[in-house]
Amino acid sequence: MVNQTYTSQQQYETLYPSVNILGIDNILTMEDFPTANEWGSRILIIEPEKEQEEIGLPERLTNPNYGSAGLDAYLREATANMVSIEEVRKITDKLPSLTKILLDIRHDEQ
Amino acid sequence: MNNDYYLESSAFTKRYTREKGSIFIDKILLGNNRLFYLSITFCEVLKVFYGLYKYPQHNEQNITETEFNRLNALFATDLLRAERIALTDEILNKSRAILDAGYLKSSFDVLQLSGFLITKEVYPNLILITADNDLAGLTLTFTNNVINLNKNI
Repeated sequence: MVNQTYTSQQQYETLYPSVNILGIDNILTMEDFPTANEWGSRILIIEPEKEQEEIGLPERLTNPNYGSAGLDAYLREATANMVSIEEVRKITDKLPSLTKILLDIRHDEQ
Repeated sequence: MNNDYYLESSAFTKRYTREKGSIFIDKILLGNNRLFYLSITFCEVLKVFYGLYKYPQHNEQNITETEFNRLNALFATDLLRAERIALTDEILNKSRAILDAGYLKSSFDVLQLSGFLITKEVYPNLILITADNDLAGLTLTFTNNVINLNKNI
């Protein structure tokens, strides 16, 4: 919001021959202010508050926790197939060490 | 609460196979401890599971969809037992200090250690649990609060 005062009618009319209030077809001129002289020829223009423009990137791209509810929902959903740790180890008994696979992947990154 | 532990990805993978350190990690996960992990752990461990399920490398046996789902289920259950640390800009910035102190091949390792050190500033008694010898070694440059699951515990 910008507040500004004008010290004379002439100065105001030079700068603002007409004013469109709130974007409505309601054009005002100095003639609409017959008592302006009684105000000491000071007219206060208050611009309507504009919608705050988003500055920079949206939160989705900057907040590290954005989407955490979706991830948590997935984790809870995934537990539906839960079996005991022994059942899981029966699966992995036939596999190489998962830790070795993980570390191999890491060490392959140069 | 007994202790505060920061579980690095290799601590989770240790749990799912019968090997040195598995029993220890079982006790930590099932005990009355406060547990933390860095968000990228989800992707790192999931990638191992997907590799075995859909993209087996040479000499790797693949797993069925049912087996994949069971592995995922236990992993998800374990993650839900712990607090997830977000990968913040502060953690990214901390990686400079780590790389200044020593070299880790994997960017994931650097971020895991960054996440641990930042979390430890909030929870000073925090202990890092890892099965990555390189990561454990470099951690000792900053603190002795690290447990290497490959060593005798």
